[in-house]
Amino acid sequence: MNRLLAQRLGFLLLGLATLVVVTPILVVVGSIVVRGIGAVDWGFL
Amino acid sequence: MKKPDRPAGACFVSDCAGGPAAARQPRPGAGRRPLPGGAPRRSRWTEFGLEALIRVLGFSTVGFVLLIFAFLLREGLPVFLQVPWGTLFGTRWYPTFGIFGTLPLILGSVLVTLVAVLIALPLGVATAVFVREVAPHWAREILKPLIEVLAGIPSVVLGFIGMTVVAPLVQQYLGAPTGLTAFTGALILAYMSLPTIISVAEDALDAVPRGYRDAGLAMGATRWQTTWRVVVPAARSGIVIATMLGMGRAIGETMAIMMVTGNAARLPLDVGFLFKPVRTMTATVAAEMGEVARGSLHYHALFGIGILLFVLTFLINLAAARAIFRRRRKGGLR
Repeated sequence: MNRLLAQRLGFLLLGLATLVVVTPILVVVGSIVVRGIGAVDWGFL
Repeated sequence: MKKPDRPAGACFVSDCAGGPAAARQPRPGAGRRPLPGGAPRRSRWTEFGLEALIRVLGFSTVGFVLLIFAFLLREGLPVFLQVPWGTLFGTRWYPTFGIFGTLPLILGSVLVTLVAVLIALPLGVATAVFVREVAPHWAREILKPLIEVLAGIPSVVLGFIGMTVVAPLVQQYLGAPTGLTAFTGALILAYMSLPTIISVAEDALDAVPRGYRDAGLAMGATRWQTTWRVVVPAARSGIVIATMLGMGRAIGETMAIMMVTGNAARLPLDVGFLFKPVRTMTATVAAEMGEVARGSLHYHALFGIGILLFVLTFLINLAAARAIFRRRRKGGLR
């Protein structure tokens, strides 16, 4: 395989792995904020 | 040229103010060891005090661990003496009927931890390599704090997300009878151990001398070849340590795992075991300790589980230490 193609493929895989790690973090934090923000008011606090 | 070492207070003829005569005369305060920054002598006592304090604090850490283990032994040993070992490592955990078979709990813990590590290791190492070697500076500045956010999310929150988001997805798309399965637990545990694996692996990659990279590139290798065949192998000992720390994090986790694994104390050995509920050792202790009568056999059995967990963690750490030591002896690791 072309060395530069292999490099592109390798870096692409590393980037995808990072995306797989980072996306759920955003989902978790977003989910907490979206589901919880409605319940937060002065009475709740 | 480098000058030879000389005792404190002495000076060479050539560089002493006052010439050879002054060089023969001891300077005032020549007997004292000079202190950094010209600090007064009484600061030696401060230094001594601080050193002693640090030493005491260091030893007290070891002392606390030994005390915890002694307490664990005191409370847990009766179950090993009173219950036959065949029953103790049997396949049924029914504490209400006096049956304390811990095998389903041990296998549950081992299964969930191993699957979690299998998921987290490639993802963690790949992310660490990407962040350290590939990502541009601005992306690194975003990714690193984002990964640290994951470490800061309380396990109960992750368990909650696991119950409400991940479990329905597992049930719907993987055909599991219930979403609360070993796989769901492993998935949550994998994400919980990722920050540990990524940060330790990244430190290990960071510690690889720049010369290794330069040499690889100078030999005509591409950046990918240099990273994959030179930098990552050179950081292997750190990556092994990262894996072990992640595994330690996974095997000791309680709350999230209790919320998403279904807590059925059954042997995970049948077909499709990964997509059925299991119960781990930590979840058992957490779920039952609040209801147990103090001093009963059940109480001692829960501490016995604590001892088994301690031994299991110790064996994992020992295996990692041996692996690193062997490779170091062969010269394969830094």
